[in-house]
Amino acid sequence: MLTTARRMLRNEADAQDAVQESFLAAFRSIGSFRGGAELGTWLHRIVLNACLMRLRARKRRPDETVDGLLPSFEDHGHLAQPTHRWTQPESAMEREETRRIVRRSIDALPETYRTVLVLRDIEGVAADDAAEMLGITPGNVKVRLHRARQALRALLDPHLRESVT
Amino acid sequence: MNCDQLIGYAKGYLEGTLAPSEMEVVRAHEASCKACRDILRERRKMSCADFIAFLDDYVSETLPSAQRQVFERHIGICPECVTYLESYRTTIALARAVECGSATDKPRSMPEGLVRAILAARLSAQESQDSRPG
Repeated sequence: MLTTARRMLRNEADAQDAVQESFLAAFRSIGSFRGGAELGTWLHRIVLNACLMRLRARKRRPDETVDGLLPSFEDHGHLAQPTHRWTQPESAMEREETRRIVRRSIDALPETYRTVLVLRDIEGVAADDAAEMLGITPGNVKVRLHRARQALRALLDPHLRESVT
Repeated sequence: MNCDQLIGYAKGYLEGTLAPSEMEVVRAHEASCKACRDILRERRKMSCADFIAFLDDYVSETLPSAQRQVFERHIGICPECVTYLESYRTTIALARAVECGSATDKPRSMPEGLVRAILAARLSAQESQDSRPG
C-alpha cells in the first residue's frame, strides 16, 4: 500500500499519511466489503482513492500542458522530426540507470498526465474504474493516457536513442 | 529511379516540396510502377499524424479489423512510424517495469495478521448487526 501511495504522491510524508487514512477508511467500511473481490484489491482501491483526494487538495498550479512533448507534423501529416531507434540496456547497471531515468521522467510529467499514467499503466486500474476515480469520462482517460505516454516517450528519447557512430 | 529510391522521396513528393525535376522523376516512376503506386496510395490514405493519433488503439488491439489493416499497411511503408511505434511500446513497458526489481515491488499479498484482524472485525460487525432486534 505504501508503494502505491509513493507512486501516486511522490512525497514520503504524504504517502504515509495516505496509507494511515486508508487503513482507517478500510476499518470503517469493512462491513461493506462483500468478499467478492480479493481483499488486497479492495484495499488497493481505497489507497488509490485516498491518494487522489490528497492530490486534489494540494495547492494546484495552473494546469500544465504536454503540447511541447507531443510529436509535430507537417502540412501533409508527416512527422516533422525524424525518429530514432532506442538502445536496449544490457548490463544490470544500465538497466538500473534506465529505471532511474524512467522514474525521473515520470516525475517530470504534469500531474494530470502523471496520475492517469500511474493509475492505468503502473497500478493496472481498468479504464472505466480510472474514469470513475478521476471524475472524468473513459474517453478522457483514454486521451490523457495516450498523451501521457507520448510525452513520456519524448522525455525518454534523448536518453535512450542509439548513438550515431 | 528505382523503388527503393522512391521511398526516400515519397514524403517530399506527397508534400510537393521536391524540386520540380525530382517531382517529375517520381511522377514518372509512379505512373510506371504498380507497387509504388500502391505504396503512395496508402501513404495518401493514412498520414503519420493519423497513425500516431490511433496508436493507443493499435497497441491495445482494439482497432476494428479494417482500420487495423490500413495501420499495418502504413507500418509496411513508413520507417519513421515503425520507429515511433517501437519506442511507444517500449515506453509503456518501461513505465510498467519501473518499480520491478527494486525493494518496492507492487504488494498484493497481505500480512496474515492484518487479514485476520480485518476478518475478525467484519465477523464482529456482522454478528452485532444480526443480533439487533427487529
